[in-house]
Amino acid sequence: MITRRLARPASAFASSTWTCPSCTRASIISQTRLPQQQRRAHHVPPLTFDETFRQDGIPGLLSDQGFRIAWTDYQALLVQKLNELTAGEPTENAQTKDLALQFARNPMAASLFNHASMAHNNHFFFSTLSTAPMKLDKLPTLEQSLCTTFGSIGTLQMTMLDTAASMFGPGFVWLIWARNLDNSSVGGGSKLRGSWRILTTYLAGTPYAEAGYRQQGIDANNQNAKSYDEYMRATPPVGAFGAYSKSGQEQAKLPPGGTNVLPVLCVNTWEHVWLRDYGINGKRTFLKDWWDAIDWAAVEQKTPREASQPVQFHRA
Amino acid sequence: MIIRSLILRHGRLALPRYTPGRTLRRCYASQIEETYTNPDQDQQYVAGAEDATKSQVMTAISTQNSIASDDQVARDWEFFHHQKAVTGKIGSEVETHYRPHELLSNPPSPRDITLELLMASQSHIGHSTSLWHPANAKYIFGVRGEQDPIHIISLDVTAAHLRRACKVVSGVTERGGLVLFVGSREGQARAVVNAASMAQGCHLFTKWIPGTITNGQQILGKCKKKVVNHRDEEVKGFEDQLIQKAAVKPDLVVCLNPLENYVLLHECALNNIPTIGIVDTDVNPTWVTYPIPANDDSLRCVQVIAGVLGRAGQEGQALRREGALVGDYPPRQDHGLEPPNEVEKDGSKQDEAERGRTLLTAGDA
Repeated sequence: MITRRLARPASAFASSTWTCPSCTRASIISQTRLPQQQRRAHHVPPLTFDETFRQDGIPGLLSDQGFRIAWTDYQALLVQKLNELTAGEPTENAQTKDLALQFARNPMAASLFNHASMAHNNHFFFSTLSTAPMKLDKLPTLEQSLCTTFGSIGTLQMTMLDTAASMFGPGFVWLIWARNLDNSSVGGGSKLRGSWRILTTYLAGTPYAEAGYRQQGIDANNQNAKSYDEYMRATPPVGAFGAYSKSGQEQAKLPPGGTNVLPVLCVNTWEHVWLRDYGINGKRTFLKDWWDAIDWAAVEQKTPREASQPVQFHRA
Repeated sequence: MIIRSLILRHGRLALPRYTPGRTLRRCYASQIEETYTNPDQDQQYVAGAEDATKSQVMTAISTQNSIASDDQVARDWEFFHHQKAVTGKIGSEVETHYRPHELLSNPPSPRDITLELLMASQSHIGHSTSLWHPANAKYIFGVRGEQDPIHIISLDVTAAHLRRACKVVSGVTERGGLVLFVGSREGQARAVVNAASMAQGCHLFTKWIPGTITNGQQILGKCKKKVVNHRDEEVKGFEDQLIQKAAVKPDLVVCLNPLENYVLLHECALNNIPTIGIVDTDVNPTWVTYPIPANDDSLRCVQVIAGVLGRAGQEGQALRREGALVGDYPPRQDHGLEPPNEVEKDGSKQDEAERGRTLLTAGDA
């Protein structure tokens, strides 16, 4: 039986010299202290426009009650669970991303991974929303870089929103920059350093390649053994000229098929985010409103330099 | 036995003013943070406060300062750090907590000396009561433990003495004095070197050779010497005068383990060199001029004290440098050096001319 570390009732206050092997002394101590006396490592992170969002909601996307459910209450719940799960452990001061990467392969710590990854993804979603979102046409370098991969912004929008709408069940859809791991300079000079990609993560899956085992990029219920194997062995299409270069493999310590990724944008398709404001069949409308509410300035800040550099072509 | 009643103070800070925190500007952990940044400034977000949101907006992630060259390694480095900055802290806000390496890479300042910091660094823990030195009874708060009682050092006394020592160090460095940091126990080397580099002084983390000061002519006879001006620029032309000069004695010695370095402290006393030392409950406090009653066995405590003294030296050096730029520096110096005379240079030129003429005339019959 997998024992879950949740707050135990007052029966834990009884002092006893024997503790069962799954309960460490430290976690018993943290449970016998009153909540006010406990030192909580994790707190709800402040958003840039937290105050305005709490009063008026996110303009064009969520009402104030919707924002309260999606962020204020839900993130507080995740943080509380994180504190309970890591109290007294050596990892109690670790960041959520580090927790997700560390425990991705540990089925006994599945709950900890889920809450850490969900806290990370949820905060990421809200970090690209603002009270005065900047439009993409004001950021020409980013727009051009996206068009290089997707052809047009309309295609990017359609792909992302359709992917999100067709996902059955909650999850996230990410826009990531995937680096070209093949470091050989064939053809001389500079070439494309990587490309943009759209990634899906069901439930609390993580987009980072170092925790690729818990990416949860497909709905395993829809797959058969062959297609699932194909997914697990899939190599990224861009830049994979033969085997990966040695330096790239060594430095990244990635699982097979992984690559260096940097997420810049994501949409949270969990129902509790949009259910109150859009109703049960309002997912499409929510996604359309979300696209108009994206603050592309925040996305541009996250974009790496190599993504916004125009591609240079050298004469042979 | 010394007994004092412990009165719980109300209204004190829940957290010490100095907490080992994160800084966004540092690239390498091996570099010491030059200007001390208050780690709490990121955490002054109060829900509903107006300037809080502004401060959040202002702290933009500016990691892409360097221009990535064609070098793949440089590009990978830049990408790695950009990714770390963008995605590393997202998810939850983790409270600032103790991280041991930060005592060396970003040491606390004298203004961050608090009783909470000293207690967290275990500076109040003394030795067994049977091993004490009665001369430092006035620094001891009381006794703890029934079976193996130990002495507890008064934290307020430690804080006061440490602040005084900081004043001494910054005063000496402000006037261009040389501070020597000594710490010969295992693990103290890095703290000693850091403190000396901040105060622009000297360090020693191995055994002190007896006689280095009293028999300096012999032991340090062959060491390099140089002359620097008020702006710390080396001045050439004194080489022949420096051959006869003895090595410079330190103007202040900071010793992190006086129990093992009593010879050094005795030599300093013979030569009127003031000393600062960490005095535990079993150490003789009269060995040093300015004792700091604290725990010399805890590496964390030693790193805090060395860091704080190094920062004090850094502040004194900064003041001295500012004064030197303006022209405000002490005029009277008893170094006994004479300005290098220019007659010798002309003389050598004359010799060359003479030689040339003699060579020319040598060809004549």
